[in-house]
Amino acid sequence: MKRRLCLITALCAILLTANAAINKKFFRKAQEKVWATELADFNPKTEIPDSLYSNESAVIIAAYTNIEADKEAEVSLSKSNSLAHAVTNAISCRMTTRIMVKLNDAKAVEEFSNFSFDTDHKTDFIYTFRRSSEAFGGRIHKPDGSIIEVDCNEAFAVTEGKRDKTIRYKIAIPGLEPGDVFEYFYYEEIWLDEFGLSPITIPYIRKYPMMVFVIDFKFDDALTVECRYHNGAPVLMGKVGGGNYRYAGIEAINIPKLADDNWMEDTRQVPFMRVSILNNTSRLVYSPPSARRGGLYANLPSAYYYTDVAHVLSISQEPTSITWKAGRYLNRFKDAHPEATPQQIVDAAWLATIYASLRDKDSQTLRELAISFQELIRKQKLGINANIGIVNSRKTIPVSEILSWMEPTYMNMVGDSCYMFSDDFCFCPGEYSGLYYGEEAVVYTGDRENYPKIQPTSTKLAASRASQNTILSTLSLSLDPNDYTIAQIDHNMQFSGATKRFARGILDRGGWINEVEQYLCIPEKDRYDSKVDSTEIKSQLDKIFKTEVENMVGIEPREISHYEITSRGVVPCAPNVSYSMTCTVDGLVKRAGNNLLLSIGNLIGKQTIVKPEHRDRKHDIFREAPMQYRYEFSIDIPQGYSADIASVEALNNNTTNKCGMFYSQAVVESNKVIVKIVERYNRFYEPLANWQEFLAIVDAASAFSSKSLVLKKQ
Amino acid sequence: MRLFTLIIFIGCLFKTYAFEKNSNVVIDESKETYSFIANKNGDGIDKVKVKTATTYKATISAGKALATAFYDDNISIDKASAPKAKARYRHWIPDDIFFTDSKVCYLEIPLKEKGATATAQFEWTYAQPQHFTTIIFPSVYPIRNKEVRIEVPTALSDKIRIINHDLPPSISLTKEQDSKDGDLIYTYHISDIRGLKLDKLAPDPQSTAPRISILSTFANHQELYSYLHSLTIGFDQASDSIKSLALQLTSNCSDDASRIKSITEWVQQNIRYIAIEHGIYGQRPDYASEVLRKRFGDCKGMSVLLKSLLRCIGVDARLVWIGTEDVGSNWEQVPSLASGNHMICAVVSENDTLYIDGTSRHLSIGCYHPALQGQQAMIEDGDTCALHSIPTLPPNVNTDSLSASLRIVDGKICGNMSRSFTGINRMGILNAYSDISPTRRNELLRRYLSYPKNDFEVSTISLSDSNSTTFVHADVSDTRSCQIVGTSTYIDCHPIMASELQPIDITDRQSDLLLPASCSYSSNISIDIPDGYIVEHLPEPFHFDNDDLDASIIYSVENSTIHCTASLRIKHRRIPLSILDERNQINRLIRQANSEQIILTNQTN
Repeated sequence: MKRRLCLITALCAILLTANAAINKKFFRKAQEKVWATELADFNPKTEIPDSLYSNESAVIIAAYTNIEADKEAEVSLSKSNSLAHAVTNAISCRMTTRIMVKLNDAKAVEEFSNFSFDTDHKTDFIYTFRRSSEAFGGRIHKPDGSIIEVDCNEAFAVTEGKRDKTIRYKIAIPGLEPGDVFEYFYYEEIWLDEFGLSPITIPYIRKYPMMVFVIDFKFDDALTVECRYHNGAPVLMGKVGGGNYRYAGIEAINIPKLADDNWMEDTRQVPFMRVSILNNTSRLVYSPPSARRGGLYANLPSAYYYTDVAHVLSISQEPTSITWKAGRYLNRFKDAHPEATPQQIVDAAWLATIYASLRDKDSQTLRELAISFQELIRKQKLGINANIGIVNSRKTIPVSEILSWMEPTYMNMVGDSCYMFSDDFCFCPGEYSGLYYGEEAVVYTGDRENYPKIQPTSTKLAASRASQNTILSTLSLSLDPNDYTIAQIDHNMQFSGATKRFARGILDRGGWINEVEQYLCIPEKDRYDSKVDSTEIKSQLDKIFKTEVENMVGIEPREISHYEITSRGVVPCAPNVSYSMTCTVDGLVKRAGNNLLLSIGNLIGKQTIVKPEHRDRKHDIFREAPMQYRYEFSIDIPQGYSADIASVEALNNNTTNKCGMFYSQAVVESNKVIVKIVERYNRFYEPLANWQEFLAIVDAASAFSSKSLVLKKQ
Repeated sequence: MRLFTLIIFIGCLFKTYAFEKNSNVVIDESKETYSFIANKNGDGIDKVKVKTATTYKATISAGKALATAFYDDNISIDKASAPKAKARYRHWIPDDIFFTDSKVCYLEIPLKEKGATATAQFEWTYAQPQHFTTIIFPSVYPIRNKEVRIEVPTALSDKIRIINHDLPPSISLTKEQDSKDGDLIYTYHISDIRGLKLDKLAPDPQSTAPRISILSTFANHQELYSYLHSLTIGFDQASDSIKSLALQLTSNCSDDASRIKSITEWVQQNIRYIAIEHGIYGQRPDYASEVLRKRFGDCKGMSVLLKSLLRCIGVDARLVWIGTEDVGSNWEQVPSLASGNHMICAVVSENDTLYIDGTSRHLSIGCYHPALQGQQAMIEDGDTCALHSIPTLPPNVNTDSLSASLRIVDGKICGNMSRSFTGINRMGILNAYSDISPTRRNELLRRYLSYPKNDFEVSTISLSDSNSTTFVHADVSDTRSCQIVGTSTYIDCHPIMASELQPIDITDRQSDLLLPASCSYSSNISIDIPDGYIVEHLPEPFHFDNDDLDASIIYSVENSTIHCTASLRIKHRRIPLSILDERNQINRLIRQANSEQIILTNQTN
């Protein structure tokens, strides 16, 4: 069984593709098939009601998705020669996407004027196990009723490699004008032996409004077809069919276009559907024993997939070289810290596992690293388990809506703490992206080989508090005595928790390695030389810090005289990312006769201004994480000037509600204006009902960003 | 084009262009040999073979060098090798080109430690020597020593000319006869030159870097014209569809000027610009009837269609070969394919020549794109050609004018505002307006109206266009330009709304500054003084004038209204590197005057 898993990896990794010129025969066949399918909604003369579709560049009159899949078992000489299996066990799938769109203006013409399509592909590993062909077709319905067929022979072949292999084709649609109705299709045939088709995503919402959307499926009953509806997508309706086929479909009308709002998380808010066509009877490719047999399965309870995951984990091989090397590094740490607590050892083990994987020639999957980490902890005999679990970020579907064991992110739970592997070099042990906060997770306990026999535990990752995800900006500002319009700024920034991701730009892999080597007490002679170009990193940092100033004050700095990363936030003893910087900025101070106006609002960075058209919101609110921004400004009042008290008092604000707060307090203290600000968003998610409260905080921050401090000439 | 492409390509791979400053990787030694191969008869050039060997060195730490060779359907890569590097071959289609045959072969060479060296070798062949036109000496890496050798067989020595451009003293040339076979050998020795970097708003290195032009195929511009013209013969014959379109478009026009305008605008707005450059189609235009059928074309196709349509109505329209400022065309001095990268049309009359660019959508007739102004145009004239320069237009062709009548209501500045645009500025706003979704057009107009402040709210906003001027009108409400502090109200009038006043970072800059256009800004703003308020402070009048720009800001009070008139004229687009520091200081003075606040005092409190 384990050999089969290896085979999957190997097959996926080695894709030997062959190319061909446009397959004219296939294109002709596709055109005949698609255009011959009579679909009443594909009528170029369809009246488009202004009430629904006014002011749109394009309107999709009709969209149609058709998927047909057969099970195929035929005698195959090449397969029998190579694998001692004489008969194929294949999926033969045909997929059509057909769209008719009314082009109302030049922008729409531009958008629908260029298309690209794939070449024929063959994928070989020992024998040919995958073939695919894709055809594109189009026709323009002119307002006078004439039809212009797109000639795909006008497409250009994009080539690559020493022998100029065609990798795809590009075509510019000739004759397209505003007012035309353009109808086009993609038709794809895929033949796949022993493998299944990974989930196909079918969007319900597109960039332009749709009048009609039809989906038609026809599947061989011997195949396993699994689908899921996300975010309220309409449900497939079964249809009566004959023979060994199952039929299903959907018809939806008047579908609005994709919303263009801030604070949206499309995979959690926009309806879409996914379909997997599986070959669970494969003799060469691993399917969990719990995998479903032939039939159509819609929105199966998540427990089925959790069992699949359990089976996969139970037979997965441990990457022993990683575990062994990580153990060696961990021993260095333990030798140097004999007093280390179990928690400290677990943290060090996590760092050692990542460090070992970075030093390894082969790359490991997150699942393998989770297994390795689990084994490493087990060998420490700490009386603690690093149980393996699965979770997903809000950028993808929730773990309870997966369609395959390959879809979740694998991680470890040690007590209540989640240890997740990623290529972000900004997190400490037990930290992870805020996009996982509060997400559903499933944890497997006990011995790995027994996972299929034990019910996994459903849980949620900690939601975290805003105060745990804080950006602290401390800034001292003084005016150049020779020219008061030039501001000199000493700035310190500190990032904690999820906000550390914002500092990723300044945190490179080489720096992470150095810090972790020190933490693990790896001797100098054994340290890893990552062969990085230090000048390139320096050059990038110069640019990033320049951008940091621009983001902070909205003005390009005149000079950055110093910057330093004071903490990388990757080891438990220094968990925050921090940097310091000294710069001068020209343009923050404006003259008003003898007085000076300091644009103090700029110091909290560019704030979101919610435009009138976005104030009437129709969707729930998603932020990356609960977060808090704290600002502490100390502004020197130049000699001969005083701070106008009214302008100081005008900086004060207290907008507090259930979504968070914007609080600012300014005082004059011994020739300095001291300003303290807290901008806080309590949760990563707010229901639409809380929009006005959420907006009040955003508006308060935006209003502050336009404030000035008046310094009066005495 | 290739050099620019190379810098972009390396930038994409390494996510930075800044190799020059303390560059770790340098070219320690490089040798390039370009050999002209005579044809069988020995009286012409068959091909050009190139061999390069470049040694890269890591001088500060470990690093990675990127060695590249660009090729296309006319160039074959015969060899590409370097230690521990695998040659990769990729199609290279820049964003603004739909399809091209340009490809890149590259080697990512590891340099394992400080002091490590590695040599990359390339060999390639130009099948058609007319495409071997230029050698640019600098690289993205600093060069310590480089030798460029050009080998010309004796029989070809009178056919091949080399022209030097912008060579610094660190590049020297020797010319000698090879003792063995008598070949003429040009050898350029290059030592210690900086790596190229792409500065913001800089002229293209193709027209400024130390380089040589290779003239091998065309003895003069007439020969070059004959070749280019031969590729267009028969391509402008008007089909029935072209004739009927020309008549339809001009049916309501009373004179040639309006006919030309009507046809030009139709082509600019109805033929999509799609650049397709491969093989001979880099020079050969599509048929006019095909461009019309497809409703798309590149500059050549649009020019051919324009010419055909105009000729149908009796206008003497001709094709024009030209190079944009990126290549700095001078056909007479450099009769090579490299001198051109664009095609437009000319309408020739007894007294005048009017140039029309089919690709410049929304650019008024008689207004030329800044990248073409001053460039030498090669104008079709039967079997011969005429050379003329495209006129350089004054700054007042490109205007951006603001007119506002404002009052203060509840701590906000409110009123109506109108901003008008001509020339290249009009082209910019109209192109953006037509390229954006209708639902986002008001936001676009708001941004244009408020630029560079971007902080107005608008209640009604509209766009109109007449007499080659585009207007944006709006009722505005601006919360950010007015601040009430106690009894004082501070008003930020910011009357000069120009982006050209921003500071220019001259640290490590290598190039002159090239602004998008010479341009005139003007503002006429009136602000009603609210009842009970007096003016406590009005900024002093500001004037500045020199050869490059002039600026003026004047405030006055009349009948309870503050008036502000301001202007800025950018007289020249190109500002030499040597005076950029001074320009920064001038810009700063203008910015300070521009940001000076008006203060009103409320006397009722």
